[in-house]
Amino acid sequence: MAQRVVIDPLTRIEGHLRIELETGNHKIDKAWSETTQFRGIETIVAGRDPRDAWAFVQRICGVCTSVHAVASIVAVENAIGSNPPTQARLIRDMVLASQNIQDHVIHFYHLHALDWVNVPSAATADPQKAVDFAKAIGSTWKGNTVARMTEVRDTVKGILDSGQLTIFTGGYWNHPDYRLPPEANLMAVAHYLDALQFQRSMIRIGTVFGGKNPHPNFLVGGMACTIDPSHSESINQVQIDQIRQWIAESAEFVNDCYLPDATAIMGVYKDYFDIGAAQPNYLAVGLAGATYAGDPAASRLTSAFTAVKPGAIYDGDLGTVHPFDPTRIAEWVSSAWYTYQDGDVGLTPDKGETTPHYTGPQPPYDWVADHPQYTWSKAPRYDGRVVQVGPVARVMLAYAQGHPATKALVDAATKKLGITVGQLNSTAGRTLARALECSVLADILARTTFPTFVKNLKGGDIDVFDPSKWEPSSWPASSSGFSLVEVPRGFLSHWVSVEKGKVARYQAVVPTTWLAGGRDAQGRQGPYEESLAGKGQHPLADPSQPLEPLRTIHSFDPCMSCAVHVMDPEGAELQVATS
Amino acid sequence: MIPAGAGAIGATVVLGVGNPIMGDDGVGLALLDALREARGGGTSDAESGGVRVEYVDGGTGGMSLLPLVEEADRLLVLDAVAGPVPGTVVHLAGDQVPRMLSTKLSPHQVGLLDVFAAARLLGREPSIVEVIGVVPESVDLRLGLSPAVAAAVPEAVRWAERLLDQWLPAGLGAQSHDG
Repeated sequence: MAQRVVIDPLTRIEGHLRIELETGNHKIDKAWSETTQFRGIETIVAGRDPRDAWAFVQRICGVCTSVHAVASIVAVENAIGSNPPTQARLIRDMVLASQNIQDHVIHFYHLHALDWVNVPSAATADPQKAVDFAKAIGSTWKGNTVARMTEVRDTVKGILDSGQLTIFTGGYWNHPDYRLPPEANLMAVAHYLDALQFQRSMIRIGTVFGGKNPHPNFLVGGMACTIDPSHSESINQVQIDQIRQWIAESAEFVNDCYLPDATAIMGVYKDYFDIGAAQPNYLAVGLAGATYAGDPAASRLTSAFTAVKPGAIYDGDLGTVHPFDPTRIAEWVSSAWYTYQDGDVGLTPDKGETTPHYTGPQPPYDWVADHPQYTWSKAPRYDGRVVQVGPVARVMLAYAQGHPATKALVDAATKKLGITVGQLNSTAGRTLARALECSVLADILARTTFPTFVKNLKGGDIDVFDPSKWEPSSWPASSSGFSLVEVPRGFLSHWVSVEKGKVARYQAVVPTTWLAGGRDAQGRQGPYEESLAGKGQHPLADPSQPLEPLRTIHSFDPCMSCAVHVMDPEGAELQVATS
Repeated sequence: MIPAGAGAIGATVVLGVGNPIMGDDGVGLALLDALREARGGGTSDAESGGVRVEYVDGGTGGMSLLPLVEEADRLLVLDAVAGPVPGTVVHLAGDQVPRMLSTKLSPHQVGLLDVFAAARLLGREPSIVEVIGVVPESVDLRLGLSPAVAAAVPEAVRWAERLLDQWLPAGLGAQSHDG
């Protein structure tokens, strides 16, 4: 039965991103961000029990299952009037925080670092020099030893000699713009492997509270895990001690390894603080992990810590934080393959429609962007503006509000690199902002969220479920609700209407839609498009090796695999790079 | 409660992968459920003789599956596998597995092979990896399997059962609860 077969993970990540570019003179002229897979999650959950919706919608994304689960249960709780107890909300905060930290670390080392780090070069490095380099950049990571660097160098050598680069296959290793010296590449590869080990601790936190991983258990009205310090079947003292240890390990890795690496590597590519800027408008409802049931101004249910208030920043003006108003969110379908009943108007998510209307070319196709409609992604706007969401937006908002921990880290990093806070709106800046935010997050988890949970526990608070609104007979005949959650890639909202005990309408506005969406009715580009083609100055030295645009797109942490097609104006020669 | 990923050394792990809201892409998880049912339910068989079989819904997780892969001594992957005839049951072993998984590989796309590769780099990979799967008919956003694929599930489960019985020490594998 010798059959050639393929498992195609491309169909499994959240949608499928394609970027089309037109270039000239080694610069990008035009860009189109195209989501080539239709997702209609609302069609899956309509008519179902709202208490089950989270189990379906967590499959929206292959990677961030728990964030969609939390967004779903909070939206449903908001609709039916459920009140999860404090301890349950703290547990969710810890699950979200650990997922967020893990996600940022994985993004930097395993999805983005190879844009900057040349793996084969590490095989030629002197291990002692790699240790010296690590020390010089302020990395105090315990793995920076000559023995370890030697081991990693030999591993890389072995892989190269075997001709099987495995995870490192398909990189543009001969691209002239890899700038790190061999010892820095070796250090980065060593930390890449350490990050693989490290993420285990993070995953385990979610596993303990959710009972399993992937797809931990969640519950409308609270959490599905019982806490009883003296029972072995529930969350007990042994596990609390383990979690304390894992949280401490995560803070250690983020502060000793990840943040110094991100700062140093972006410093080597300093011109990327002037490349890849998108619109300087930022939207966030708080720090990473911030959660609201319904309008933040009136929300009874929030994440435990809301030190940074929801808001928006316009035109890069950090002196003014505009208060957040959820009614100002609207989605356009000007460039997307959908029709609205009333034509191309901006619809708020609570009135959202998802009626597919494909007018694009029949696959397989070479080029999509000749059509006014070219994507399955709607174009969300806030207050009529294109906004950036994600770590850079959260860092800007926290900075503008004078959040002490964020401000101290941003000031230190910008001073060290000789850049302005405004330059965080760039390819290198978004990558740096993610690391800065991760440090703040690890610190809050270790010093605030977890200790508060334990303190409550010691006070005898083991309540994690509100049973009063479990039965559908206790719900209003019709109700609607929404959730706002800051997740790794940015601002996520789920919107649900419940009629006679069943889901009548469901919409999810995911961070990547804010970022990857196409042009709107006024022709304004989405952030991905703007970052590549906004100034007409984005480098692209060799169309057959589109490393520079990949750096920029990856700086947003897209949750989609993406294919980049490059076309030169002279002819239709297409280059394809999947990434 | 033993959390997944905290398994004992020598664990046999059955890993279902795929996305149940993408039609036939969910066949790996349908196989996982059916196999679990056939073996008496539960998330793991409590075997004697120090052998435990763990059933894990891996969904579409990438690197987060690494601890599982590292800790598995023998790994059976259940999945949708490409092929010409929908509903065909496929069994892959040995070097067919990496060959099958290596298509569409790139440094920025985390798939199952990346997870295996990472486990190898860390010096901890299963001693055996085999795949049992079904060729999908359509992978679109909907729940449920197409008739051809659904019809193939019982046969694929029988194959998986046979394989597990071969892996387990004599007398431990036959734990089916028919009916």
